[in-house]
Amino acid sequence: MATVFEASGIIAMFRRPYTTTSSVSYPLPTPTAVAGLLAAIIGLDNGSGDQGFAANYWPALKGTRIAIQILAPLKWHSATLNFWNLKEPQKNPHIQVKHQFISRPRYRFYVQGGIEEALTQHLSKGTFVYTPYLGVAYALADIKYCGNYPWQPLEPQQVDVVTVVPHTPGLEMDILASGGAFRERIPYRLEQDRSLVETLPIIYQTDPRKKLRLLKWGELDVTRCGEDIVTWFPAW
Amino acid sequence: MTFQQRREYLFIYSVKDANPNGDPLNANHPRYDEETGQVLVSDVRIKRTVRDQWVREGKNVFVDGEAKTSTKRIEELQNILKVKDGKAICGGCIDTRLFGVTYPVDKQSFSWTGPVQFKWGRSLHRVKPELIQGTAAFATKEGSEQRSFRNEYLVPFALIAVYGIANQNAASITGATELDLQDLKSALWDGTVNLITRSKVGHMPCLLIEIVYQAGFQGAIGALDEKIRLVKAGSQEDFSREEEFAIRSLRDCLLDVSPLARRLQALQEHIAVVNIRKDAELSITGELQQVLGDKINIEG
Repeated sequence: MATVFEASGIIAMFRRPYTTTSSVSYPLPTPTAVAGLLAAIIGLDNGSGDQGFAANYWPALKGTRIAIQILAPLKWHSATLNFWNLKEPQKNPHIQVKHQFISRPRYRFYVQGGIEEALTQHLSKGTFVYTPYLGVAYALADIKYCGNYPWQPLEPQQVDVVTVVPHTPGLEMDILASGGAFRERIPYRLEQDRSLVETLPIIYQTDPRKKLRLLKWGELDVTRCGEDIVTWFPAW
Repeated sequence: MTFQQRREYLFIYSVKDANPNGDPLNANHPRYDEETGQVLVSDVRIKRTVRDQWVREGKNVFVDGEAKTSTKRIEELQNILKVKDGKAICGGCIDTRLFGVTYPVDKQSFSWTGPVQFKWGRSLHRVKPELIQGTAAFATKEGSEQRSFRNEYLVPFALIAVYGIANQNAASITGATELDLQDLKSALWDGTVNLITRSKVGHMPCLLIEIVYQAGFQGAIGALDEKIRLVKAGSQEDFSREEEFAIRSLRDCLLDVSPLARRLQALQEHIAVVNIRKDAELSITGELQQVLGDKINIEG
């Protein structure tokens, strides 16, 4: 079985770590952000109360795999936030930091293996241990449990998938039939000290009405989950 | 002892002829959602209102709003609190206990996600910000015959809703207490009344709903600000687009809390009490009283 839930909000900020003077979001929640979301719901403490950079939940997520579906059209909202100028406050008490948020995001997540059982226990009761949010603490997330669905492997054939597609060797797509697609490289796994272990290239659609047409999958894990065909990130 | 019961908050306040929250790199134009016509207020603005009130009340606040380095502020708090350790300093400040902190000291850094998190606030109706011009106090050059002009934005009227949550599990890390949450509520209300700087005069609190859940409950309704709506005062009909722009006072509208009441009903067995503080001018419709019965507590 796979556990399926949705997360939505007014804004989201999955910050690109290399954006320094401005905060720019990835166009979708990265697997590393989803890891934090899952850890919050089931109550895995990140340990940052002891060390600012700690992300202690990673070992507990071992064996969990996810798929990500974008449910709301990608829209951006730009705003500038006044931050405290901690370096030269006498010169100017504030510095202005531009932010590019995702506006009115909504996602569906498919989770299988690893922490799935603990996650289902919380989602099915509508509970969470730590408050879930979409990238930053003020982007509070509304969580909706969709249910548990059987997943079945598919025979290699042409399929239209609803999820973000990890770009793995041997993948062939029909871009025209998909109505276009975007490519991005996103962080996939971190160490417990938040150092980057692995990134993955992905293909995605910004319009949820369009599906991505796969002609050959290569090493990609594609299954039917409920009524949808989803593509899985490798298990953490 | 840290607080044990989860809370959710819905705070509504009105803004009349003032700027709720300017965007500093957009000529201080009120933060604005071009798609929906709503004005926005960042969570930081709301927390500043609360922190300023706590400073007025003499409470220890980590981010006190003065222009100083973090090193200087930490030194000050070490002297006030008579402690050295970063966690003891942050544990001694009400804002870090409730809102969390990233403690900015090399090799001692730590991060608390605050048990209290606020979403950005949004107006419950479309608003048209206006550019107002006035005469500056002084001429820019010696010998000038005329003074220069100043431009500023304001909104004629906006009713802004803010959603917040207080999570008992995060409180066990930061040390936030029941008393801290009482202080949060009173500072939301009184701090809004006390926003009397030039750009903020005209802010008034209208409604504060605090849902207190039974100890041990780990759920929430979520996004309370999206489970209410404004309707016309007399007919209780929806406002048209143009009519929303023309709302100018609480007397023009009625707050329909029916969607919220339905969600409260679904979680009734988990609710300990719902505390409500309301301005007399705000009218509410919906079945709150019928749904909650003796679990409603009206605060003065």
